[in-house]
Amino acid sequence: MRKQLVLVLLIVLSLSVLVAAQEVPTQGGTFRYGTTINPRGMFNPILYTEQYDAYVIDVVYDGLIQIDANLQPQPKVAKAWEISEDGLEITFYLHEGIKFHDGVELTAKDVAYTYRTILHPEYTGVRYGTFNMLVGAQEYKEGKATDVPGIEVIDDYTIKFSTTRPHAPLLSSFGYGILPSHLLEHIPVGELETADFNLHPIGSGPFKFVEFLTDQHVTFEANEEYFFGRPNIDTLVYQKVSQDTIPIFLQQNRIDFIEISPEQYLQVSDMNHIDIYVYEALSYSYIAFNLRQERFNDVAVRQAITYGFDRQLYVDVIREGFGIVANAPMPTASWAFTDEGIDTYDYDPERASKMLAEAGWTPGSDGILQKNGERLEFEFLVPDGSRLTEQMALLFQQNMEDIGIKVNLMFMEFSAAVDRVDAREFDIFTMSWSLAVDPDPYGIWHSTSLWNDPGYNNPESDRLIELGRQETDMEKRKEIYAEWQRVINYDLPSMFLNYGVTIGAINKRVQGIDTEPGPYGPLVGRQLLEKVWLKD
Amino acid sequence: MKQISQSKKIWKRFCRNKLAVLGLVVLIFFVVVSVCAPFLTDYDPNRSDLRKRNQPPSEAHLFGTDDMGRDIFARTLYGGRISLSVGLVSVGISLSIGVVLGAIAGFFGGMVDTVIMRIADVFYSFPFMILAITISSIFGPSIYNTMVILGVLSWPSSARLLRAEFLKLKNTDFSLAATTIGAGPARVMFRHILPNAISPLLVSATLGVASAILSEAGLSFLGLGVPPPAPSWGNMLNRARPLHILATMPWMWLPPGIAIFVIVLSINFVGDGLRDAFDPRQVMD
Repeated sequence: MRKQLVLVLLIVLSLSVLVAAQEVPTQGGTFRYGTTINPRGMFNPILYTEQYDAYVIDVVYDGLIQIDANLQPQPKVAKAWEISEDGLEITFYLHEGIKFHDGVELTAKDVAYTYRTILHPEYTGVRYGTFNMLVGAQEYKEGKATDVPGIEVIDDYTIKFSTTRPHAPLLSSFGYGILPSHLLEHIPVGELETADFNLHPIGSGPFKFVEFLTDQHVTFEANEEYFFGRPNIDTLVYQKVSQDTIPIFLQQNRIDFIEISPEQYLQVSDMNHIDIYVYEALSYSYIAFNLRQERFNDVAVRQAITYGFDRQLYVDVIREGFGIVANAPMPTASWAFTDEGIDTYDYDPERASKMLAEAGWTPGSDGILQKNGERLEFEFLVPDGSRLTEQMALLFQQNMEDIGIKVNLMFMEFSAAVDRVDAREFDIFTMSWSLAVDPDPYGIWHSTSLWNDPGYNNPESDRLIELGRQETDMEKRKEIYAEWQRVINYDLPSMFLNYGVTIGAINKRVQGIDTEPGPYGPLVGRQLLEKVWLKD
Repeated sequence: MKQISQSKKIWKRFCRNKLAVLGLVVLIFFVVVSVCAPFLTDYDPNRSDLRKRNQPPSEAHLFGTDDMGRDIFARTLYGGRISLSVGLVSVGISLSIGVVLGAIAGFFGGMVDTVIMRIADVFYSFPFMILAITISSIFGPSIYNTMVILGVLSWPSSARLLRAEFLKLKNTDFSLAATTIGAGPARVMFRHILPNAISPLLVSATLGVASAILSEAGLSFLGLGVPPPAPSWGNMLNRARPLHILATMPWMWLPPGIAIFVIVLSINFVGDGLRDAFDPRQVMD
């Protein structure tokens, strides 16, 4: 009996050796990651604002931690961390010997530089709100102090952050790529935005930046000295592809991974060498109203417009069912999602007309609603590049026409559209948010936040947002966010369109992917790019 | 012997050119069909019905529907209105500029001529499409901007043509005679010389309409001409650009494509016919 067991064990062992032998990753090759929109060229982890810049930042830099496929924080540059009992202090222990691409060692000093810069009075980015609870942050921001006591370098490999109050999202906020302080500290913080560094980034991540050519590609080479092991592929390319030609590029093996649109699903699923993954993403699309304009400052107008737009038709037909109608800015993929007490604003043009009439809008001589000389005629800013968005805009235009609102479509290149939004030069616009793993909506929806594009300002919403980030009990926090969703669901500073459902197409030659993807997809965002290998 | 008037002679000569007559018939057909569009279809070209999108031609939708569920037959008809009016208006603009500047340059000569013709050279030396795209992205795409852009960018050819005619005609006996009996330069230019220079201008204008229709289609195809939802043949082609539509839904791009092809071809036939008809060397037998 015993002998048999040994035999069985031996067989199992040899089998596993066999399997392991097959699993040895091949080295080399070029991985082509398709994208349809150009990055802006702001490859700086604390200054970027666009998703397409994040693609580059993700592979060039490493953060203290990283969020894994199950949305849990995992060690990266920090090999471990310790949170004090009162939850006010967090200490990170760094790996020794991590090197930036220029050979200089990464130490706690670089970590301190990265986070202190975000709090600097002249910092031009939008992330101050994420760290304003650190001890001394406010005094430093206002120029009253020269240092932040809440960021304390203990030795080269230990750094401690302390906060004035409990802050639930704290740990998950430490994923920002660590900047090389020796290359940047001589530049005044106010001028970082225009530094050449942003176009030639140097980090400690798995790939070294090589070049960025607008409308063509961004290329990287494997970081031979990478602390966590050299990537299996030699070259990584973010290949710019026009949306219409995606199927051709996939067919001809010219890209290994890309997110495709629903109307391409059938065509691509016919390709034998391509696998398709569908996953709910931590994202949502919206149409934002400019609340600085009187007409949009009236909640009845915003609600009426929402009733007047057939979002279900948009999801069912234009998105071909790939999507979920959204009524609040908390995706279904997030643990804080709720639909309790959430108004769904089902398509009802008659109700929309009635609401507008009750709010005092009457048709003018040309049939367009007006009130006190203000007309419900406005420009709809729509970024180029996505056919779905274009179709959505056309449907919106027609739906609005039915209730006496004239919409003029303005198609614009994505970066140019972002500039207009940042300058607040818009009536309404459509874009999407890709969210961080923690549901804290402070950065996007707090009235003081720079990312609050619509200009939403409701004290009740602010109160709940502040309460939510201070509450460390998950159940209570969930309840606070549910309440907040009901508030914003009523106010509708933006019309929420749909929660993202992403369709990722990946070439079968790519090995080592997550075959049961969570919200981050089969490459776990871009984390697995350092692990994947290519089978011939 | 019966006297035949000049215009009758020209008409007779034109009628001998079978292709030109065919072109004219097709052209008239397109104009009539575009003008009468509301009587020929009940569909609103901009009205989408997403539940009926991507449908092949059927009895209800003669040419099928597009990706927004709009009737392609209606869009082709209404698109013809826009394409033709862009063609005519932009040629009108370019002729107005070209005639005035060309006439002045040719009549006065010297410094005036040099300056005007160098400006024309500058316009010529820019690649047309790139300049049009730049202007369109600055002022924003709209039907009127498209007309103006096409008009303003294409005046040099008619100006050159007219200048050459004026150089030739200003020293003829009849214009000298007009000058000697005291006619002012404006009167000589526009009353005496211009009518004699009209035939080559007419030919070039006709051909200009064809190229303006093509340019509008090109600009709209790039998304910089006629903005949605209004249909033009160019932006209809633009919407049919994705591979799966090109491969499996030909009804979306065949009608506007064929319309552009046929109308440009027939205008060119008419232009050729006119040139031959105006040519005095063609003998009447």
